[in-house]
Amino acid sequence: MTAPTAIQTKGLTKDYGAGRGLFDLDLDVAEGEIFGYLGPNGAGKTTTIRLLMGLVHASRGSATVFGLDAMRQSVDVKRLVGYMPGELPQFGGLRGRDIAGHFAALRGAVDQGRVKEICERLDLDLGLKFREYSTGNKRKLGILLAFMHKPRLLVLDEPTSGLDPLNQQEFYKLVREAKAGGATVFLSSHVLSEVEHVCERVGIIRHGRLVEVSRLEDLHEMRVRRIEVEFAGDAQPQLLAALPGIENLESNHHRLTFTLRGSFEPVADALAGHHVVNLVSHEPNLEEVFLAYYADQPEEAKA
Amino acid sequence: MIRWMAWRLHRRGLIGFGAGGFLISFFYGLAFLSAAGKTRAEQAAFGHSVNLVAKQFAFLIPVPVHPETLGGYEQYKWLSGAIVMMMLWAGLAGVGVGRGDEDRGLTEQWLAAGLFRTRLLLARSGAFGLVLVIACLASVAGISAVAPLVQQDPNVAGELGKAASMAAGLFACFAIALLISQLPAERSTATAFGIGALVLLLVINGIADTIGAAAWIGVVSPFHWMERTSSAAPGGTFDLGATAGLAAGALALLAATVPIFRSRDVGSGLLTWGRRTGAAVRVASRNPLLRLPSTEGLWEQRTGLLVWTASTLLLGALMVSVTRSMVDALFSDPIIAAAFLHASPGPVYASLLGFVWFGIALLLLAGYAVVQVSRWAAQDQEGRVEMLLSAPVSRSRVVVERALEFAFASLLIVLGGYAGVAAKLPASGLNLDGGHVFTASLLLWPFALAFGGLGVAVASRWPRIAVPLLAGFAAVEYFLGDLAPLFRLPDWVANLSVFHLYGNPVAGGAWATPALVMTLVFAAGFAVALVLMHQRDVAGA
Repeated sequence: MTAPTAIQTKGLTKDYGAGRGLFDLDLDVAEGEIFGYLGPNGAGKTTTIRLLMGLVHASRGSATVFGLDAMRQSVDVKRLVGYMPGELPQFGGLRGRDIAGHFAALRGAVDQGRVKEICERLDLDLGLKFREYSTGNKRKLGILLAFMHKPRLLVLDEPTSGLDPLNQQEFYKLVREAKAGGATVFLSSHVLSEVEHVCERVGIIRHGRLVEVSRLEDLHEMRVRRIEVEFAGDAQPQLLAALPGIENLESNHHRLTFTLRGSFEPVADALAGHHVVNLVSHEPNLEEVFLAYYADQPEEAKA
Repeated sequence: MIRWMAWRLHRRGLIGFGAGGFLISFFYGLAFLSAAGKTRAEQAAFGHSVNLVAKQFAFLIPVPVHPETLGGYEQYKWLSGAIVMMMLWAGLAGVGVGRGDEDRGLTEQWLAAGLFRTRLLLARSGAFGLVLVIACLASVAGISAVAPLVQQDPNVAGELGKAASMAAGLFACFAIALLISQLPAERSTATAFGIGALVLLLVINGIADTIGAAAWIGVVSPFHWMERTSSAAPGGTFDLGATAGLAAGALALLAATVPIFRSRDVGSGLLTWGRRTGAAVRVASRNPLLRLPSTEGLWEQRTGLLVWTASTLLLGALMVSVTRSMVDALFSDPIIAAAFLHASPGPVYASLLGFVWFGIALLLLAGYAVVQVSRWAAQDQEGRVEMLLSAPVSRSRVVVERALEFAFASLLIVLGGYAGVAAKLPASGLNLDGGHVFTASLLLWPFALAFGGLGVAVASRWPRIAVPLLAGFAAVEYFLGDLAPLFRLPDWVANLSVFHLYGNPVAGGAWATPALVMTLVFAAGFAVALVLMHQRDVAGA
């Protein structure tokens, strides 16, 4: 049985002209899922989020959140959503407690205990004026505003940028707790390690088009691996040179190093019967997968 | 690079006031032709009547020099009205350089790029000075263009003297606002104090011009020194000392600003208050004023709003206090008294108070509307509207809350003005009808609402250009009200200007129709704002 859908887009397009914007986005995010939305700067992540939040009008296509139309029923949608923008606006001379109090009043039913808990976990002082906050503290305030009302859906636009590692870890815990509490999380990022920490599925967007949606483990299977094989005798590069997916093959006395794209099975078959004394496969992080994926895109696919 | 950036940041002012300077001079030139006639005799008669009328209002505007000539009339009109618009521009530019750049993060970026604070301040100020000179020269071009049409000598040398005096005086206004903006950390507070100080200096000059015993206080006002040049009129004088003094004063203010800017932290004011010490706060505020966006807006601008209200209250009280002295001074000349009674057959004190106080109050409220729209526009561009719409708040509600916020704030300022007038009225010896004073004061509210309605509409759809649009509209409205009688335009055209439409209710003039029309303008602006806000994309920061 499949989980109900939290976010669904069909052919969602926002065309800013000159090839900029978001094009024909078909996406389903299941309820209770943590979905990572990856892409470089200017790929269309923030545009997608603004479409989901009903802030910008779609050129065509549709977007629904928990079955509600993101634009026509945007007020109902936002009752269910906690939103953290990529950049928090200037609140000038307002103090943190005023900003939190204002948004708590607009949302209603915000527990002061929850505010206190988040502030303590992030070490956020609400007594300071907004202009006195450091970049990191502004991000913490953004996290508080997104999480304090325990929303059903969290829409987070590059949430950890500017946070120190300790607070990043605390943020990941908050995300996992939200999921454990039944919330759905839509997290956009160009920091791939962030997605690796918490996400279950990942969508990759580039030049306004969704190019891949995979489970995190599937994405790893698409990986590019750097492999070192050490032979008892001299290395024999001809064993592997003709195999599919082998790149950058180098031989050095007893050792072969190469990059492998795709399945390891043909390599294992080729090495069978040869005296291999050591084999090391360097697991790529998502960063390498990401870069490899992009590096492999032909120019016409980018358009 | 900084010089280019500084120049570019003033481009809208350059376009607006450059074109405005040209058009104002051009249309006043055409108005001269229409009102003064073509023959020498007609022009002499016209000049005589302008002289008589102007002498009645010598407390606010300089006495004209040769108003029977194109140059004399045009200089008189500039110093009696257009200069106030230019003053507001200079004041807002000063606050923008002193505080707006910091709010937008530009100052931080420039300083991070290795720019010295002194150089930054001088580059920004120099760019404005250059823009100001161009705008003033545009007025020379305007009068030069119209002169052949009205068969008059353009008197270019004299016009250049007038432009130099205006540029120096307005640069001093800029420097005053720039210096004041260094004191508070909040932009809205800096705007209120900066513009408030300039309005006060305008009023001080008026008092100094009228009451002999108070003439000495005029020396602190740049308008006093600007009025000493009348070179655009044939036989007028260019006061080199006054103009050089204005320029030197402006440079001295700039020099005083530099060490303040260098010593304070970016993002802070020289004066700080309300800095919290003690344990960290971990709870959200329960302040009931934060429950609605409109009351939150009032809470956020409470200092600025207090300054606006207090300034209006004090100005109202001051104007009532000096009205009788002004009238007595004017009526000591039987010719002026006769001319006044002919022009304003109603009660003398009421007519004069209508001009003295309510004329200023109209400009103040139009200025407040521009400031408020500037605040909305900044919030929109900084992402505040995006953040607000991320809460369960509809776009319609954003517009409604803005309208409510403006309505309440403007009502507070109007009531402040009324309180000041009412407090001084019994002891003033003016014997005015209390009901008329109350009606005239209250009618200021729909006047402000009319501007607010238009401001809500433009800020809802075009936040980036909302301020120049509304400021331009206010200028057009003001000059329409001023030029309509000169061009002998029909009443319905003159009444397209809300300044004209307001009339003179303190002297018993009509109030119901103007109130209705201005309220309808507010309602229409509000309705348009609702439609526009729903159509647009919201993408801040």
